[in-house]
Amino acid sequence: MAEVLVILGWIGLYAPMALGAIGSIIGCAVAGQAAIGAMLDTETGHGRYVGVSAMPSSQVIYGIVVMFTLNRPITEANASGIFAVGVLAGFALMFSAIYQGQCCASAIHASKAKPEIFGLSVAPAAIVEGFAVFAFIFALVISGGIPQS
Amino acid sequence: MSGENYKYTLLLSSLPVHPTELFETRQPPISRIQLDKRLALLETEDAEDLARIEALLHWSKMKELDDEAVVKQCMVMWHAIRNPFLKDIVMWRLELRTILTALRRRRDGESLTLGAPFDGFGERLRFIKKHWRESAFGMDALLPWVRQASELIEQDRPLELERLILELIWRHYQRVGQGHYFDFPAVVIYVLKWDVINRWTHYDKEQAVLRFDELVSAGLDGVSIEFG
Repeated sequence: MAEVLVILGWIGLYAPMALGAIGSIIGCAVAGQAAIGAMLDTETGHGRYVGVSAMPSSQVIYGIVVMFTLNRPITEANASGIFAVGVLAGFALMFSAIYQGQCCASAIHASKAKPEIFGLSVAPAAIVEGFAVFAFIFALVISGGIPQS
Repeated sequence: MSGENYKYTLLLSSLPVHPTELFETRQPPISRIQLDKRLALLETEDAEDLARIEALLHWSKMKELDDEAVVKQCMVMWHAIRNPFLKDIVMWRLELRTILTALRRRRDGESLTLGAPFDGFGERLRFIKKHWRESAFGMDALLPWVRQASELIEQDRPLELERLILELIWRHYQRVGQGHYFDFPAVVIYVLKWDVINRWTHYDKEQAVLRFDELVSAGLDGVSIEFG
């Protein structure tokens, strides 16, 4: 049982980073494809398309910070706490990155046809980012209650 | 999560957006050559499905066969389409054609009985035959446009009928396209809408008169008319 707990602890430690990275990969890939497609159809504004397509990369950074915050010697006493916080924060970051990528793809597609709505079209992606920030901040806050050893 | 729904993000983002109103359009947003270049991004199976759908919905790609053979051939192609959503879209168009054919045949004085052969598409063939004498084949409540189309056919107003049908098709594509933004059905709907725009923008009165003169000249070639 003790070994299983330690394994779960290690999974929880690396989960925010790994799941955040998976989310960012998928999100940036979807938004990036939309940006490249839009470049084929427009003559200007390419820089902002690329900029928007990079928005889902923040989740992996949050994941890294959560991972370092959770980083401590894994023991039976703290493994379950690390597992719970790490995995749940990881999933929140992963889903937010994926759906943010989809929001970004739609924003790029819409603002390509109507450049004047560019700012507004990015708002849904920013709102999704807000939820990722919630998951990130409260993972940091709650990890303070996990025993150091 | 992002698989099928975002499969053609690059392709669809590279295509110019269609206008909201069909009849305000003066030319297709992209040439067919450019469109075909972009469609090269489709996976083989999807490209085959799109080719089937276009073949089913383009008169120019139909072979000259009798009704029964056309229906049989179309049904074989229709069954080969893999996506049920796209099958529904195609069947909707084929059924629309069947209803228009029935309206024209009735205008031309044909009388269909329940036992008479009538080849067409959709589930309303029997219904049409049963209500042959009614102006909208008894479909007023279900398909309000049928009465309008019937009146335009009876009054011999082909341009208004064409506008009615194109508008109907356009609105249908817009409605069914909701919720499909970067997937394969979105690509198909884009191409079908492009076809509608292309059809509308290529109507040219002067060209039509020239073409009519050419056909008349070709038909009368070698025929001498004596004026008494």
